[in-house]
Amino acid sequence: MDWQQELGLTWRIAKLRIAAQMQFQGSFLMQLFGNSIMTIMEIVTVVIFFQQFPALGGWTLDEVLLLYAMCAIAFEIADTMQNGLDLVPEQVRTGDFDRLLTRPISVYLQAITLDISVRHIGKTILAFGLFCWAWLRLDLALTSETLLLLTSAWICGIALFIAIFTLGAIVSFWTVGSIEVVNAISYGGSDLAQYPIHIYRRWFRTIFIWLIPIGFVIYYPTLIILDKPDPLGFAPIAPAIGPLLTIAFVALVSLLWRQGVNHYHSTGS
Amino acid sequence: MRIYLEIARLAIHQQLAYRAATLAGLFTNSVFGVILGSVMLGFYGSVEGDCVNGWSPDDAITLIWINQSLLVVMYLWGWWDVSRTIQTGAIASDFLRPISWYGLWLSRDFGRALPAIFLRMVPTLAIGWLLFDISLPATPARGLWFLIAVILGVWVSFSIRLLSNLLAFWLIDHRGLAAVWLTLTTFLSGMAMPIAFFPEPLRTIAELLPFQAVLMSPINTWLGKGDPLLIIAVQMIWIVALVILCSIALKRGERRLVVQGG
Repeated sequence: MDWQQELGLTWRIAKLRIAAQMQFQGSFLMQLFGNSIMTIMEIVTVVIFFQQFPALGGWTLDEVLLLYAMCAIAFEIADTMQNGLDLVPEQVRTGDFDRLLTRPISVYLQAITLDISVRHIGKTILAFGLFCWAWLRLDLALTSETLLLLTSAWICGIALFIAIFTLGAIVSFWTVGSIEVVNAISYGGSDLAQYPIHIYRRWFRTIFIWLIPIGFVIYYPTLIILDKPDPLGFAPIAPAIGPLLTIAFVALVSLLWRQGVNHYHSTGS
Repeated sequence: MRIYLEIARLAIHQQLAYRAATLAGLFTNSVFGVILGSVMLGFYGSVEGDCVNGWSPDDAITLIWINQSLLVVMYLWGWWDVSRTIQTGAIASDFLRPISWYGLWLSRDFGRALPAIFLRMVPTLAIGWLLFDISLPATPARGLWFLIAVILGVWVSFSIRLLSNLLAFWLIDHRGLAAVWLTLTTFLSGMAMPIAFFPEPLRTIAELLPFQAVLMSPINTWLGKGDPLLIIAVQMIWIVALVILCSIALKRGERRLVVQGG
């Protein structure tokens, strides 16, 4: 089977999963609302902070909200797409993962489409709305350069977050224990990237700039678009090095995924 | 009474079994402590003078780390054990037990919370002290009041959770409610910032709700903000009020309960 057929099949699976969720409309709407209110309260928290304080690391409310939205768009899209990976640890534990290995399409694509959580769509729309609102308030111009920066930020951001979520599934091939550590990196990573990364201590931000390049991928494009002072001094190299580090990180994770699948021994009686 | 102590003892054993999960949890709490603490200090860097609405940067950082340390102790979020027994009908057999239904769940919850105080609260506070130099209770008395406020906070938290779980008598699917609940309790308990930062009338509303008695009460005793006796008294009033509300909800809910089976 070639890759086009494979993607076509994956898309059909995804559509079925979405249709299945729509069957329970009341429950779906309630979850959609519940998820959206979470984002709304997070934004409210930022706004209240700015009522008490004039700036955060030299950034104004509108600027921080733009950064917040930049990160949230990438994170929410990634979170919508990755939901199936959350089910992998349970499948590995019970041995249900076997079924994925018997089918003739990519194990990873099957794993990622085990569940598509449409309920995250509300958060994605909210994040995009916030982005547009902050963009207009800041009176930013949409040039070909900013468009390129935005596209690269979102593509890299989505890839990076999905890769981090994948790490959680990979860990489960070796240990049945908690994957909470990986959750701390994914949810923590998105939380910390919603604020200007230079406010963190050196050792902490170094991890999230160089190792998990979320700083290069989200913070720097925003900083360049906003034309803010660059306290860390990586702005000239950021647009090039961000995608490179993302590719390296994704490559490493996909290597680990293969190792993990090979390591998987079914369970049974 | 002995039976409830035994239930609590079993719950403690259950908690102690998950050592890897404890370490992972400490890691998570620390990561968020560092993130939220840095954001807080970042904001404080932008103001002249030291205090914002009576809160110094040290106070605010201490709030962030105490909140992280109490997250699992209070367990305000994602506890739907009782609503599950309503959905499955297992609650009917819980009612048949020769012990108090309320006592059963309360002792289970204290059995869950007590080990968390030693395994999660104390280490997280120690990490916060090492990394962010959070302020320690100025006097031994404050430390003691803090412990009392934590224990009572668990009880308030349990009562709030029980009440929201009992809503399952009226709702079939609690997941939407759970998400709204998580958000509102997080916000109104003072998780992200002291309630004193809220604009009016939100601040007054938050102070009149029971959520502040879960996290803000222990924090205020630790930092010596307000009369500790008054703080403890307010917590106790909430416990009594919520127990009454729970028993009303339970009586009404029981009548609605339909258990299918065979």
